[in-house]
Amino acid sequence: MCASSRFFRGWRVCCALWVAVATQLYVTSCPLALGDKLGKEPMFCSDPPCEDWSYDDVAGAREEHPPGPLVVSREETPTSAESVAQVLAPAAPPWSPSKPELAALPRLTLTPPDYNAPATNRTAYHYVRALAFVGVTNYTVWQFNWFSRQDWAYVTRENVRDNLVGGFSWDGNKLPTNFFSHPLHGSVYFGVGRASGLTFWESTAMALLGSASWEYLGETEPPSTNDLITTTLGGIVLGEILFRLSSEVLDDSSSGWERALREVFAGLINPGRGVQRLVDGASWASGRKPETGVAHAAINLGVDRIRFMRDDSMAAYPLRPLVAVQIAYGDWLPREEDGFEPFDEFDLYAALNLGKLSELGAQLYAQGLLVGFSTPFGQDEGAYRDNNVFGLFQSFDFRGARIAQFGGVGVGPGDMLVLRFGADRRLRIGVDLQYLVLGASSSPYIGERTSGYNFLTGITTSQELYLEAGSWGQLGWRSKQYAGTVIDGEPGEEFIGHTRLWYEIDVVRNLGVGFSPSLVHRLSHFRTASNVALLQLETQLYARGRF
Amino acid sequence: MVLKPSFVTILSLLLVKPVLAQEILPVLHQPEVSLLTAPAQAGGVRAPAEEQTLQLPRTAAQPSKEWAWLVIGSALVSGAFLAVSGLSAECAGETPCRRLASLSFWGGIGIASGGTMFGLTLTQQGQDSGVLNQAGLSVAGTF
Repeated sequence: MCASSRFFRGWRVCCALWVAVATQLYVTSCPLALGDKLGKEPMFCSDPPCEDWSYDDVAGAREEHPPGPLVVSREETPTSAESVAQVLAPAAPPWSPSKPELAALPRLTLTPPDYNAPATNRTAYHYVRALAFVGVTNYTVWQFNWFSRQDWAYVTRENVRDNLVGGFSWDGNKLPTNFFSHPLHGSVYFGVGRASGLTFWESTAMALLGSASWEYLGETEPPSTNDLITTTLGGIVLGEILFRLSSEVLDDSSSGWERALREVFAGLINPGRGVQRLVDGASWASGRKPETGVAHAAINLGVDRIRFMRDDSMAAYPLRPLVAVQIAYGDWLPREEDGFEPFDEFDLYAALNLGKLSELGAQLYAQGLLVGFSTPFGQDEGAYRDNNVFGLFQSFDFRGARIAQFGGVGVGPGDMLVLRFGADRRLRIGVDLQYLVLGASSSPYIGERTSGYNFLTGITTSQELYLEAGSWGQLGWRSKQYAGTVIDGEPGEEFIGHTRLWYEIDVVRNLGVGFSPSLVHRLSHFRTASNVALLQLETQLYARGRF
Repeated sequence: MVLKPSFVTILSLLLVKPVLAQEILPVLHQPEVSLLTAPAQAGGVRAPAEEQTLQLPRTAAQPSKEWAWLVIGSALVSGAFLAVSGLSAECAGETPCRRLASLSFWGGIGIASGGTMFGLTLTQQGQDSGVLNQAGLSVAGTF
């Protein structure tokens, strides 16, 4: 290479330049070089960007170091010619600091990256990108329906005009569509907002915008009030939960098959984020290992039996396979400076009875802390201190119970008391009272509605008790009651509730068994039809795997 | 002896081997992060080389941002044209016409939003390392 450059004046410069370039490339492309300097794990810095670095003083160094802020300055290197001159200049004699000088130097420590954190220094780029991705999401869904030859997807000028001037109405879709599929759709809007680097609150606007634009432009049918509510509010709850769960799966420091599986799994959990990572190359970019272990998840595999009582007679379905996922996220302790971020703490329970769909064993319960204030409870300190958290909670609930298929989205104040006695030993007591923004329950009396359910609004209250007793297992109890008035359908009031009790114990490490009875009850007062009183008992026996 | 390469030398190298433009310049312009304590800065004390300076990893060459904005502009214009075309169609309830008009309308939305997303990704070249970035880099490098 250098021989060919004799054509040019200053061929020695060329050789020197290549030596310098090779040296620089080695130093900068070898992760071990940087990792060794820091005494840390090898690190790339291409993604996330270097702004994610944090500089903390080690306690000892800070104590011995004279007071004063740590100055971190970024210097741009000079022009190319000057750089070459600097590289080729005789090296300065090595500096041999004394021990006091070494002790006085600050040290660089790297905190694990927080994959849930929004982008720092958000600019128009992040917002426009999120909006563009919401558009792509809507287009993708619409195109799928167009290929499926759904007549309601053939939107024309007349439809758009009618939708814009005609106003909102209640739609007649099936209850699972409105209270399960639409919230999942909304979670994609929310997820692309978060994956674009927006905050929780900024991403709520993406859920609203995505839902509203779809209602106005995506269907020939009039915009639906219930769709807008469930897609937005349900999408926020599920979107943030799925975003955080995908963060638990992702690990930019992994590689090979492990990395591929992590990316695929995270993409399945949160499709919007998965696509975004593919587009911007984050799927294969190297990074530091994140801090995980915030989520305590368990998978239950077993059998489920449903009995229900109607008109003083008890009926029972055969034993059916059961698959359930239970996730407790967060430890209910505030971050040192920031308190609680939205959904730093949440609970998720999803179960599917693999029998016939008509038996309706599916259920999904999600509730998270939107805003929280922690106060110490007792004199304990440290990781096992007791505390009480008062805050605003948001919930999403769907249940395919035989006696009343129902769902709802709500928000309201709540309180959680956590007493800690040691590792895997704690008691959690919670209660909340929420405004049921919108709910729905299947009913034999539906008034003017074309679908077999009524829309409700009202209040909900839930109570929770969860005891972790180490090797003695875990005992839990959760109950949620709905009191709502029908706002579309057969006029009347509905009182619906579900209560679940469970006991689980490890047999070997992280593998155990569990038993859970649950009760669903319903009492409906209709003004022009006879009352309805129903009861359903569900019993689960399962093997549990924790991870 | 300090060698001072002339501007002509470097320029000639870059012209003969355009790929060097993607390899040398990012390295030469690579920023450094220096960790100096306030007293150390004031007193001009330099820390040991290993702890004092962190070389940031090499970043990809910055492609032409104009190329990315051209993609965004083209997508927005063509998408808007398609969408307006779809909305201007009068179908009178005919299903084939409605199907085509809606495809034009939503196709326009898809092109505009997808193109914007793609173009914005191109503008971030040098910060990310994705396939699209690298594709955009090679395309931009030919201009």
